[in-house]
Amino acid sequence: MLELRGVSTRYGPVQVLWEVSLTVGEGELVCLLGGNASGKSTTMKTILGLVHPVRGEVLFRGRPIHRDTPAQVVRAGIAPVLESRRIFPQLTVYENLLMGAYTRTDGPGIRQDIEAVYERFPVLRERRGQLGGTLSGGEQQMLAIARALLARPRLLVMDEPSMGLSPLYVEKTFEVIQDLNRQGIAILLVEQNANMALAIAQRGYVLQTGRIVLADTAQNLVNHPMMRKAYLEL
Amino acid sequence: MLVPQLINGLTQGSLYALIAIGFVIIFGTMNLVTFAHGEVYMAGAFVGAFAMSLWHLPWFVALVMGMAAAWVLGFLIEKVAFRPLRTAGHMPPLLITIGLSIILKDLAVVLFGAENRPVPSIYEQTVRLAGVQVSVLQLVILGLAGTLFLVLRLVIQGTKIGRAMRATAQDHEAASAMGVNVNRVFSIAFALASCLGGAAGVMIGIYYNAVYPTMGGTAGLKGFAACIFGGLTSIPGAILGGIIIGVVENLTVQFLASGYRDVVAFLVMVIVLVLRPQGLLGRKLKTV
Amino acid sequence: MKTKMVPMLLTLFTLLLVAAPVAWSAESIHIAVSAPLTGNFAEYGQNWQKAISMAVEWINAAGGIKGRPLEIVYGDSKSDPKDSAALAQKFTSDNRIVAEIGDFSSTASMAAQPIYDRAGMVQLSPTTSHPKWAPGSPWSFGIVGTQAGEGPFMARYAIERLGKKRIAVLHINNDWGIASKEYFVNAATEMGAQVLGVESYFETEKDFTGVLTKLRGLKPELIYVPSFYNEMALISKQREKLGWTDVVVMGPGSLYSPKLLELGGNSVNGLYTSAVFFPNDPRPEVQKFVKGFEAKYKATPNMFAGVAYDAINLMAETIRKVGTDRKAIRDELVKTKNFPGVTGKIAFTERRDVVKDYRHLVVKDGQFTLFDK
Repeated sequence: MLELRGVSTRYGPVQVLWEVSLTVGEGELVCLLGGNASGKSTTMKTILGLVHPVRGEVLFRGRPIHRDTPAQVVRAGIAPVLESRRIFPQLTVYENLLMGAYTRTDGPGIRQDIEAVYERFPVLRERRGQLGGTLSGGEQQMLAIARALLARPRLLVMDEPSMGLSPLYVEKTFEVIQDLNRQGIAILLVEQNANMALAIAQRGYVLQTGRIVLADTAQNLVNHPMMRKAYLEL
Repeated sequence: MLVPQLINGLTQGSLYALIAIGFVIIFGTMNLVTFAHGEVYMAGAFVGAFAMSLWHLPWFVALVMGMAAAWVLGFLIEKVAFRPLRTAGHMPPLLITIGLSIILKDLAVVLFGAENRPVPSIYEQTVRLAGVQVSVLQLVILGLAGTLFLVLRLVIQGTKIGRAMRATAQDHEAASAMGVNVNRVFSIAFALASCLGGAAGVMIGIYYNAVYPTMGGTAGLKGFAACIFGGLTSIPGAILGGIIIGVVENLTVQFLASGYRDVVAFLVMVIVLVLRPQGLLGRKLKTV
Repeated sequence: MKTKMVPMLLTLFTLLLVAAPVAWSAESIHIAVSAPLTGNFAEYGQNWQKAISMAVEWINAAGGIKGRPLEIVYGDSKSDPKDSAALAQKFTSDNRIVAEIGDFSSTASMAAQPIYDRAGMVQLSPTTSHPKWAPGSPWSFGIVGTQAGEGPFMARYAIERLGKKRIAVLHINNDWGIASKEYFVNAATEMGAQVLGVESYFETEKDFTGVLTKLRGLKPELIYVPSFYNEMALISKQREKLGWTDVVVMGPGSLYSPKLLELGGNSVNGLYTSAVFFPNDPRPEVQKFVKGFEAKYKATPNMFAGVAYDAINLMAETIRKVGTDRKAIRDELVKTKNFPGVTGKIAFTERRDVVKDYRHLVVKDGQFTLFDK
């Protein structure tokens, strides 16, 4: 469904990604692991069209998208849950959801989908008139996920959804991710929390200083000596 | 004479406010200041004045034409001065707008001459309201400014593009990731800001019966002051700031002397900023 | 055959004279003009330039000054004292330049005055009317008259001719405006009028609603407004819009310009002023100037064009008499007693300014007319 082939990305003179290749299959939950400054966020921005690769290509459902604008990427069916949530603090919860549906023009469909995310996250219905910035971190995470769902994505790209959340909400977030995946949405989960991510993912990639160093099933990765040493707190 | 002075101040201030809102919109969405805003206002004023004095069109047609011209000019300025320099930091676009402001002013001198151009009078009558003689034109201007404030509020609060503008202002990368064409939002924001400046220009031309190439200088400065006064990113703040500056100016004329009007207006602004550095209705800048 | 040749040759000669630029055998005589060619006062400077260019064209077409062409070196002062002083430095250090005409405002002229004084070059201003100006240096000359003459004239007009006793003043806040106000107020007070209030505005002001509202509260019968036609038009229109109709408006001769009527429209009807220059004056020199100006520029010359025209002609006439020595020009100018200017006869007083004949004017049905009650 999503395929990165030898993607290299640079910010000015600084090359951040070196020949990154990875795939996410239809309905798959794949995690991309790595430490700080390993290039996880850049990989995500490259997929979303926020930065363009200097070499290599990004294919989505067989079509190259690495020259597309973010709007085209969203329309193609990829929705982002950005790092540290990035909800719009001065927009209401409801308006934040509408921003998720920005590329859509089907009014009734949008209303129906908003109703659906209110069902899934009742707290958002309660707080729909409140400014996004007044929500707690966990609630904001729910809003960020709900906002992404409003784009009716086939693939969700999530950047560190567990970061900065209380353990209770981390748990809840991973439940939601698993739940969405079960409903058929493919997910690329970019995470530092390798334990939790590998527990729910089918496959995983490990990124180190901009290069993919490991790629395997979640099961094998959990048992890989390098993983155990470097990332997993066992 | 106090009530008439307050009405004078309110009229004047509502026009400052329209200019100030332009600065707020541009600063709010793009985090940039334009020094060509006064000249956009001047251009709008000239188009309005020509529409009325040369082509003998009714004033509201002149107003729409002035606003449309300012819209187009704003759109072009954004394309030429801001778009190519989006990642160049604050200074280069700022300097370019200073240059543009000089070019536009001199161009106006070359094309139209340095002298005042007369604008035909409208609504020369006065009415008595609660025992006070009030100029009908002042009421018309107040009404128009009020209408524009309302329309602007509706656009920004209630439309998709308004929502996209606010989202872009708050987090342009996130907005972009949602599929917002940020460049288009910047264009529209700049054009919208310019359009309001053009409206103020046409109205001031009608109010004072004159337009002239250097009119953008002080007006731009006052509008910018009102924008800072109100807190840089707050539209209600800019309206309040503009009106306070207008009223303070006229009270200064009444109780001190005409020559002190700008001094006192800017003095009040400085005092407010010392007491409330974030402006009247501004929030403290987040340190991200 | 022979009889036909003469008219033909004559025609040819005339054509050559008119069409081809005159081939000057001698070096040009340079006169500098320091004027606001751009900026807020540009229209006045441009009026000067039009009148002066036309006068120079005529002088050169008639053979120049003793066979030498006259050439003007223009400097744009914006009527800003910084620029007029800098221009004075430039002009006085240029050996080709024999004398200077300018500047426009009293402030700009007076800022440059010490420089011309030190260098010993005539500074003849067409418009500077500050009473302290011409006496300030033996090299300074003023031909427009001073407020010392005009102020009392206007006060008499207001009090004796119009019978107005309760007076307020609104003046432009520069050297000229302050002097205008003072001479008027002093004379009016002496004549027994009551000056209720004095307000001022800066040159760039366009909003007079506040200051008019304030003056209105004093309930004057007449407001005296030393200003220029630009602001006067705005003041009149804004006064009308505020509904302040029970007051008489008067201002000095600086207002006498077709532009005032054009810009002010109906609102300047009933405005009282004075003039030293009339386009309708039947004197031949005036008619020659007015006709020439109208033909060349499609506009009637105003007082500013008139005084500039007088300034250049007076200068040319003086140089014709004594040559191009800077000191000789000054010594000859001082003796001017009966120069027939389009703005009236020019005869310098010992202070090197002139006493003008003023006419009582009032705007009636959109025209300046003589007030003869």
